[in-house]
Amino acid sequence: MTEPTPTHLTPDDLDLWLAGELPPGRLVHLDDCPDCFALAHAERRVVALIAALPVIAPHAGLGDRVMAAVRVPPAPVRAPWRVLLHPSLLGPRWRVMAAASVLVAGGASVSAAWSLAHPDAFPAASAWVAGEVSQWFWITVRTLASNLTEQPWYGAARSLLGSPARAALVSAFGILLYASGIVAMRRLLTPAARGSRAQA
Amino acid sequence: MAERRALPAGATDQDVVLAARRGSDAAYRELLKRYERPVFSLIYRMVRDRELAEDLTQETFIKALNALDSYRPEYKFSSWIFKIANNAAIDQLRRRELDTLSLDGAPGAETAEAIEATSLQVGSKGESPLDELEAKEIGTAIERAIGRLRPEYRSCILLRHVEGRAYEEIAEMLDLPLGTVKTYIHRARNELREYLSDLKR
Repeated sequence: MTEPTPTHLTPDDLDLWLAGELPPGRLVHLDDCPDCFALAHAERRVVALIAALPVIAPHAGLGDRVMAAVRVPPAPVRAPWRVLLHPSLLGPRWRVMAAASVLVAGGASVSAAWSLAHPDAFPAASAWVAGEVSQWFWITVRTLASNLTEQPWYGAARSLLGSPARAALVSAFGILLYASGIVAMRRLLTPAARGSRAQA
Repeated sequence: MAERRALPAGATDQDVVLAARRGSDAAYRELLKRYERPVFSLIYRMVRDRELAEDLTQETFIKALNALDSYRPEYKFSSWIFKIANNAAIDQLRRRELDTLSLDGAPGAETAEAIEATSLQVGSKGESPLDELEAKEIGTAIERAIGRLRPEYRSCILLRHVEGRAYEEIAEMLDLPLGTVKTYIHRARNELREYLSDLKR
């Protein structure tokens, strides 16, 4: 049985060899084949010559000419509170977090201590707030109700809802009107959406 | 009013672009400083005319810096700017068919001064006069060989071996399939090997 003829290095193999990543199996071929050896070394020489080409500098003043034609956007104006909260003024983030935690914990402690020292103050204040809220709520309800009864259509609306049967009829009519409105809107919108997809 | 705050040391391109978008004049200048030379080198080697390369570099930066809002930070800024630069150079080559220029100056250069002003200057400093001459000769031969390549091959080989870009990145920059980029680079290397075969070792 004769040994299979080893294939010469492909361009991809040459790339791998130039990068020093050619598998050992192929490296053996490189050592055995004078043609591939010569090709690979010639290739390496060409690559080295190109890579050694110097970087060329343009004449001075190119940067200034470019900058004269570039539209630099205006820097955003910072809100005063953002300036005050800037890390350069406040210090590192962990320090800000620690200060905020101390402030919250301290406030809560002072509040709890004060509540314990004045046990009657909190229920009295709560009762006062509840009374005020309740009073304002009923005033608002009465005002709205009196406004409603003074409307010119109030009598007609009341007679329409005079009996449970009439109220049910009016409600059913309202629901029907709402549903037909939805259906009409969908029919109106669907062809437009298809048209825009076709254009896209 | 443009912001004049200094950028933090070690800021990435993405950081600098963000600062520029926020109106930092210093960030615009930083982007220019970082890419002025590589972009100019690429364009210069593509069009092979200093004056034209300067105009195209200027055009590239104005276009890129005025369109920073359209730059997507998930891509490399360098890829984006090289893509704009390469397109500018290729468009110019197509318009004026400069790809067959010699190293001895731009086509419009008729006087000795104009030829000198527009010719490629290669070679490095700090060498003995003999070494310098030899380096200059080798450099000139390489530049000439690159100049003989098709523009598509030229941009691929320059991006790959001068800028050190990956094949995938080049494909993205030039809007070419990966296989095409690999083929162009291999063909370019083959041609260069041929052109440079007489070069003293």
